[in-house]
Amino acid sequence: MCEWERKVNAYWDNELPTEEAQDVARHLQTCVECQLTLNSLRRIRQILLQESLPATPTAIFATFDRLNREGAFQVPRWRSWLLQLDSWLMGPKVAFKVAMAASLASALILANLSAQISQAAVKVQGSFRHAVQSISWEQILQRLETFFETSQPKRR
Amino acid sequence: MDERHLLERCGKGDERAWAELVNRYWGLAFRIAYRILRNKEDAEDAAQEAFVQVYRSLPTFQHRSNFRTWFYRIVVRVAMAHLSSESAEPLEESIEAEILECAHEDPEKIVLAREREQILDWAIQQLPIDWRAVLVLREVEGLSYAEIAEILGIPIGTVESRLFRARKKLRQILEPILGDEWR
Repeated sequence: MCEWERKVNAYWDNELPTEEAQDVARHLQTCVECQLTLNSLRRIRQILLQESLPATPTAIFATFDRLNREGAFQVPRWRSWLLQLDSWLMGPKVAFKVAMAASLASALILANLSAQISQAAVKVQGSFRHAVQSISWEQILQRLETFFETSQPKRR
Repeated sequence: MDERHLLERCGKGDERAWAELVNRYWGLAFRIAYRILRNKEDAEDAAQEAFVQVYRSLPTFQHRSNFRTWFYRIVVRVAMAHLSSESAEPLEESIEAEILECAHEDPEKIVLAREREQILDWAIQQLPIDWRAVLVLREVEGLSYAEIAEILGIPIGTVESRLFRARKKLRQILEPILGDEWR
């Protein structure tokens, strides 16, 4: 092994001061062993740069999921609930969960309808009470009097 | 958006800023991790872990320093830790000796039996993990000895020494196998 071998490495990496680099360049003109070393260094870099890599995976969502679990995002509360519901729905036993969600939705709709009906009943009852309360006793007596007068047979 | 602004927004929990950061650096993280770990799934895990580490360390990041160098440090360290935890052992000495012996006997057979890239893959796996990291940062990423030393937290002399040994070992393995193709 030539004692210049290490320096040839540093020379190839442009890590030598100018004077030392010039010394190595001069040495390379005469030393076959170091020429082979330099050639192998060139070859190694070439092979490594030409190496084909597998396609970069699109694991962005998985990365986001991990970041989210770490608390990287300041997500509004309603949105985090939606995300939780979404992940729950998309988890295992999807069919069962979808059926559960559909039943829950139907129950909510029915509850809403019955609430509307009872609201309407309360409204009618209220209007009746209002009508009764708005008539005074004097008016009632006056109306009764009118009724009896009109219902009596006319005297000839 | 410039990097400083982007990192500040990430620090405030801005989801869009994170999306931009991951988009910008995901490829780099995967590429480095793959070249060190030599396995796609492990590289993907390491790249993800690197972003989690970025999130955790972002409050301590000094905006005066270079984000790229800081990011390299995180990815390389995560990848190296990943390999150590996997306890992936290099091929046994006997297998290596056997392949090298075969190569001396009939190099063409070896070249025909294995694709060139598989040979390179195997050769790199023979290097210790800390040699691999130095090799990737110098040969592929083109970083200087000083930058590599800063990323790995080691003296420049150690960088030079590891690089020298890694190249020598690769040459010892590849030269007899690749034969004429080497020159």
